[in-house]
Amino acid sequence: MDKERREAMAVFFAGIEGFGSATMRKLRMELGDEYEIYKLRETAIQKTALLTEKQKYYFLENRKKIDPWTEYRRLREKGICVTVYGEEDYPKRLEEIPNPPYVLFYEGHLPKEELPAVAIIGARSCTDYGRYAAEFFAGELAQKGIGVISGMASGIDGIAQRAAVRAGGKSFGVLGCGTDICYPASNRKLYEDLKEKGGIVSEFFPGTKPESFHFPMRNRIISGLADLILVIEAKEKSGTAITVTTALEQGKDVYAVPGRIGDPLSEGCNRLIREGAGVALHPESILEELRIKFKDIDFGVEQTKYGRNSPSYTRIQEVVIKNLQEEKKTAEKIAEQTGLEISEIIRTLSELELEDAVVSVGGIYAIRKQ
Amino acid sequence: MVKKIISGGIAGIDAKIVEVETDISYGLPCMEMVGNLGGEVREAKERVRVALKNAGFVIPPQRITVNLSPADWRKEGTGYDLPIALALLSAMEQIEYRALEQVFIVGELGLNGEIRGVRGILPMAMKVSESGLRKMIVPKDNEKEAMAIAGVKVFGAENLECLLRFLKNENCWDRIEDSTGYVSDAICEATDNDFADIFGQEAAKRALLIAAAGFHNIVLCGPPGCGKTMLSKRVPEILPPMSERECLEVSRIYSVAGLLLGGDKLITKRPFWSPHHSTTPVALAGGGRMAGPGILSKAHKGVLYLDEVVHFSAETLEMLRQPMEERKITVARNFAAYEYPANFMLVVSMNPCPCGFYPDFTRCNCTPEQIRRYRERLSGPIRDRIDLFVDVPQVTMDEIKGKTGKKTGSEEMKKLVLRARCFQQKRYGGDGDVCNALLSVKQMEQYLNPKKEATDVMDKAFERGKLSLRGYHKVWKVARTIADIEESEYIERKHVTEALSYRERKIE
Repeated sequence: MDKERREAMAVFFAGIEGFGSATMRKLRMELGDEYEIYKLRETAIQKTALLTEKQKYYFLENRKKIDPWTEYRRLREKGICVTVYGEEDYPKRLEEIPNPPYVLFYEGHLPKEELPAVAIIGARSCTDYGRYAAEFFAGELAQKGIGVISGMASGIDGIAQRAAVRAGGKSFGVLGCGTDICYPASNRKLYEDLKEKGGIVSEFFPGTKPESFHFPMRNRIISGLADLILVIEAKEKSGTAITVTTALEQGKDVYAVPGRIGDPLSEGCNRLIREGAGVALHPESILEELRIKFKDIDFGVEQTKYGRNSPSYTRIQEVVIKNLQEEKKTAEKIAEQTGLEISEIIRTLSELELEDAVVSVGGIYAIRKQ
Repeated sequence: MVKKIISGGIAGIDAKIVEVETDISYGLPCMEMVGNLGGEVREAKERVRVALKNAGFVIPPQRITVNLSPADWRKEGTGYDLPIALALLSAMEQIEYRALEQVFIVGELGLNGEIRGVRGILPMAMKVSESGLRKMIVPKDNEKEAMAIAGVKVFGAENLECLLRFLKNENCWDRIEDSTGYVSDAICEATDNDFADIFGQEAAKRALLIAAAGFHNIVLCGPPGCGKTMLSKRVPEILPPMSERECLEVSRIYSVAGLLLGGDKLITKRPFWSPHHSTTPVALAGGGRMAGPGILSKAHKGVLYLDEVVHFSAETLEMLRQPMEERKITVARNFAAYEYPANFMLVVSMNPCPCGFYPDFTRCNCTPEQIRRYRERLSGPIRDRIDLFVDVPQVTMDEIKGKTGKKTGSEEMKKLVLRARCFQQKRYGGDGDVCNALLSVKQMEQYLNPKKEATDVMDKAFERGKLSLRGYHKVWKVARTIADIEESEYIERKHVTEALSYRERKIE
């Protein structure tokens, strides 16, 4: 069966309600290729024990109503590409995972097999520290030609992918809805950027709305497409934890960025480290790991230092920065500890905020890591 | 023979002169009252009849006609009882009419002849003074209120009997001296509310000081229990004392609303109103069947505090738009449209997120999307009219216990506010009506007076995307106020940087 016909058939089957990857695998094992299944007589379908009554009903209904070729062309015209399990262009990495998606829809392109890819994942509501870490790691890795894979969610996911695109690298967003739906809508810009400078990937039929049960499913694709998983910030129990579990089942390496103890958004990461995850102190730790697998690729050796050259600060600015380095605190506390007027402190903090040297969240100031 | 008595009613916050005419003529015995009367005015007939009987008068079995003129204007309220009674007595020739000529009379009658207080005396006294009448008979309860206007002879009557006794005297009005007008209490009473009561929150106090100095509207955003309400309640304490004119302006609204009744003092303290979030738009705006000022007007020259502002209905909040822009509110009802002043300082408090604990992630599980949606309930048009956004962080028990820093008190803050206000007054002229918060864009060009470095910082903030175009003007106004607190002619760099810290920050 030629490639296009197989894709058209796959699109047809993916569009039937209740036909998931497991069902398709079963059918193909027992009944032959997709076209043969499509051509089955109604009596044969009714007789088979491989499908439930509901599945049979939808199959027959769809076959009556939908022409696979028109449907396939419609998707292609929208710029949505299809790849089917077992085909030449189907990602090799996914063939190796348990329960691989039977069909993948994508816009843009898929990650290249010969280039390394890292999944950067983490909490949706992240701290400034998480933002810094996500930008730092994603930017550095993307610059070295490493694909950044994530879920395009708000928080760490989006931050990392934006940083990767900004660094001129490739990034791929795996969605829990159809590739033609931008979810969350606030990431519209990133969504458009990814189509151009990477790809949007989903196993869900175009037009599928995001549902909560889709997300654990798409998480297995995120880790499946990557060679290594990097967790930036995660609570003890979270979607990130699910992704890590599937990643371990798939045999992927997991790295985590350490955080402070007692910080709820670092609990997940610190626990992963205790359980044996790699400690991501610097992008170099990730590169070291990748060098083992990708011997031929030269990632370069030069290291970027933490932070950029600090601008020259006034005396009072230095006092405030030094005071803030201990921990984040309110303006009042700084005033109390330095013995300076509160108005003076507020002004200095505001100046530093303008320089992006500090950040205020809910009236609590912290050094902004660059 | 027709006898005329002068009385009046309330239209908005103004008084309107009403003439009460009475005639007794032959015909079937009855008492007819005409002149577009409200229900409570028509009921006056019974009160007057019984009160006169109990005072020992016999109403003749003749045809009595009472007309309240102008006859096309709707009359409401109970203040017409006394003028009707006196007009009737004059028509019956039971009292000397001469003593009632050119006298403004108002009061409610009890069945036993007692004269009870009514609302709106202060604007009536103003009207009397303006129209050159110069004499008033009011209920005893309202005597002090009427005497707040200079140059009016006021007789406060307790009951019908003592009033008639007074009127019997020859040249009775000569014995009453002209009122000297409002005398402000030199000593402002001490209150229990002092900023020094609040531990910590020095940054928020500083922001409130600036807000008070420029009459800026302000938002306090912080977790529950961080002291937002305590802070807000103390704002009126640091506003400068009201001038005589302001006292009269505010008291006039209170008088119309019936809130001065029984009290012997005018309003000298800045009002503070904190309506519950279930408040309806009408309660805020004013109006109703008997049109009266709403909470927005009662907060005139003072503080309107909306606690948990996002829980107010969208309709109620949208109501604030016109008054915040025009500093007055126009209410149209069946019979007329009334205008009430509403120049208040808006203080608003809200939680940072639905659960209230953001950015404490040990307790807060809200997603950024939820937080954004929660905050957006304070709609754009209202936001645009708020100059300062202040985050009020939680104070921990340890911090309170280990407190060594200073605690700024109201006294100190008030001094700075007063200094800034005087400085503004020198610049804008007038009697303290114009504050930085009320500057128009055109006035800003004229008065801001920024130094070059100040403009540079502002441009930088704008370029770096820290500031929206709307925020830009607000920051300038706040910077002007900060400069005023320091009595600085020019806006300097430090003033702008401080003002920038009170801008609204995006949630990431």
